[in-house]
Amino acid sequence: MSDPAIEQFFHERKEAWLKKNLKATMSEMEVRAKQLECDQFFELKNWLPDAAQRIESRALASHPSKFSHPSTGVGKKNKANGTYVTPILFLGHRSPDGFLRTGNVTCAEVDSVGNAAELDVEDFLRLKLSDGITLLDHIEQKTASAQALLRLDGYDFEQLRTSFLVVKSPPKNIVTNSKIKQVYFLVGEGEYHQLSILTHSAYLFEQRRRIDAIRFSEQAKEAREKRRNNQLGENYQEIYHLTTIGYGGTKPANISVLNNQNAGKAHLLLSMPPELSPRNVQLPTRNFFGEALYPKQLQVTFQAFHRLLSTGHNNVNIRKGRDYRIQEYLDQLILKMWQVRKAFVEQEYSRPEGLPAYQKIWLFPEHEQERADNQAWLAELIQDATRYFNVSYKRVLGSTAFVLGDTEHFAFAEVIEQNKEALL
Amino acid sequence: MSVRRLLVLPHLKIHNANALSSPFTIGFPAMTAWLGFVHALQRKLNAAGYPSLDLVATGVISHQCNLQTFQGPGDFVHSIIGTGNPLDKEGNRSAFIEEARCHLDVSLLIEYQADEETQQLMRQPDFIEVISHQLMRMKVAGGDLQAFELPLLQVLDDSDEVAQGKVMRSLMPGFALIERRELMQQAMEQGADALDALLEYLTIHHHCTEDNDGNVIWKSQRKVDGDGDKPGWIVPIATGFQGISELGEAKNQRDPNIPHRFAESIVTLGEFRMAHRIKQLDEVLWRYHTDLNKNLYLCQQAQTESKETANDGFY
Repeated sequence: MSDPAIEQFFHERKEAWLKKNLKATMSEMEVRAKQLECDQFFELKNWLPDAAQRIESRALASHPSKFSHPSTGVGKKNKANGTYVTPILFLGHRSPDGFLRTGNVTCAEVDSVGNAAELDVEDFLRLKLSDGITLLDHIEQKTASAQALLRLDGYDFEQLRTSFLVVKSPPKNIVTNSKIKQVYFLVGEGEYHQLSILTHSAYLFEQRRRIDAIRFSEQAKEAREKRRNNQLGENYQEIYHLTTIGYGGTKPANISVLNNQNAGKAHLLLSMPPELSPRNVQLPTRNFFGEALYPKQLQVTFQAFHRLLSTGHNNVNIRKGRDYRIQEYLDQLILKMWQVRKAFVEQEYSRPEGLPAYQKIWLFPEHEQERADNQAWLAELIQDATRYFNVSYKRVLGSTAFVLGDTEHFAFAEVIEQNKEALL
Repeated sequence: MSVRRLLVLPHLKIHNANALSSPFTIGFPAMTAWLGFVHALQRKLNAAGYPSLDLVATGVISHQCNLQTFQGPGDFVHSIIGTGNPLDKEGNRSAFIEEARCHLDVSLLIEYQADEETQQLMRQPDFIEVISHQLMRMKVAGGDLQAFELPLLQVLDDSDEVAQGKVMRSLMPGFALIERRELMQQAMEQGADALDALLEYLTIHHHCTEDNDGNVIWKSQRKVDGDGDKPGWIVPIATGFQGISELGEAKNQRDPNIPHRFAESIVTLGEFRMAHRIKQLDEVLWRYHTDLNKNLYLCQQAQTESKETANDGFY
């Protein structure tokens, strides 16, 4: 007796077939005739050999070429018009090398491509039998169940098996296409390899699945709600700046099976440098300190700085940490400085008159030459930057703030000395 | 002590560069695109009368990166602004896979080597003209090079931190791209798979604690490493390829005389660090590296020892 999963499979197919072929107007005789036809069609000895032929136009592929260009593929039409690309089934090996590449992600899905009309055969091969192993694996390993299934009168078991395994057989002729990016990569003095670049679609959608879990899972929703009400809750993560990309337009099924399951949508992670000319730079009118640079931007920095002071120790690690935080303050100051300068370049006509003289030299583009020639203004800037560090620290920490002593001021002077040129 | 020879290409303004640097990321072009461009430039210069010139390493400093995506009112995710060129013969938009583009202002810091004779030639004033002439006809990361400032040649000593700092400051304001693969390596050695390791560093972590008086405190921050260090402005970057089929011959390959194979993009972590923070040029320079036993085609950096200590005071 065959496996319940297989029984179920044929039961569903038969029902669908009958639904399609039976009409309300048919007489009882006709209905019976159709039912007979149906049973015959799905009888193993008829269906299996046919299926074994049809599976030829589908292929399991980890890297379907259609993600590189939708006109390429493995179907008969592709073979006819020269856009056939060898389906690649690559599993890779795992190694903690710090790379997102095939082999390094836990993901059991395998995509497939080809003629959608033969999808039923693929579904058949992907059936999980009662022992949890797919039918395809059974056939490949020639298990007893596979033998029972494929030993049909008048057919050779080996031949049927080979026909089915075509779906994952390593391709004999390697074919790429001009529609796929082919990159030259330098491998040695004047020596190159040509790489046709493909996409690992299962990983693409695994990424989407994990991002969606971060965004929409019940756990995350619950924790988010708890945080909003400032109640005790579980830790959670949040991800921003995603971009959605669509494959296959209104027909995601034309790209691949996994693409269809995901409605053609995948998420991309953002890879961008910090913005140097944000649309809303706060331009100072009276003082850079307090208007362009303000304590809130540096909250984390000052809190960490405070924690370091409150340890009461004074060892090399503490000192390094302290200097790092001072540097963080200066980095923020330098970033703001450039944002303000850029904004002034773009805004030629209005200049705030209320700024201290040294800040005008420091920030206005028309004083660029002066800035380098005479550096008296720099001393003033350094003084104000030091003072403002003190002020911001007190503002962030409130009454818990320590009074900064000579050690801290000396440390600050030293760090700012190293950054002097970056302020020019 | 060793001497470094540098070719600086300041402020390349690039229009419509490829922002789909890998199937998983969008934004700044892949490292392979920058090294590929520099290698193409080397080949052109070799042919233009500087035969022994070897452009060995490249640093990329971003001054501006303008990504062409769209966020509708109320949308959480962005979508790509596509152009669908060229139109088909009826004038309709053709079927296309969405292509993300960005406009860039980037400086390249290129370390070169050359024999005495070629160096002599490079010191002639017309070298800058030759190189500008070549640049005008080149594509960068799939985009058009619309303008650039005059290239500069510099020679400095490796031990001279002051001179190196000066070079980097001349590229301010800008952010240098640095490899931070070690962050991902550490996470993977602790058992995370690559995707989790990547996402760990790209998400905001909200932690909840309760103090002794029963007050609930929620803290939000980016991932810190084992020592409580904040790793900087971390982004995912595409740094190379992994071969996924045997090396050999394929039908329809671009050049029948060069071995072909299928490959996929490799993504790891990188950091954009403000140029004035760079003390050693090696912190920003990238080179080609292939490990054919592992089928890896990489752009990578010499791992420097200059890891900063950022003590958070959590102990």
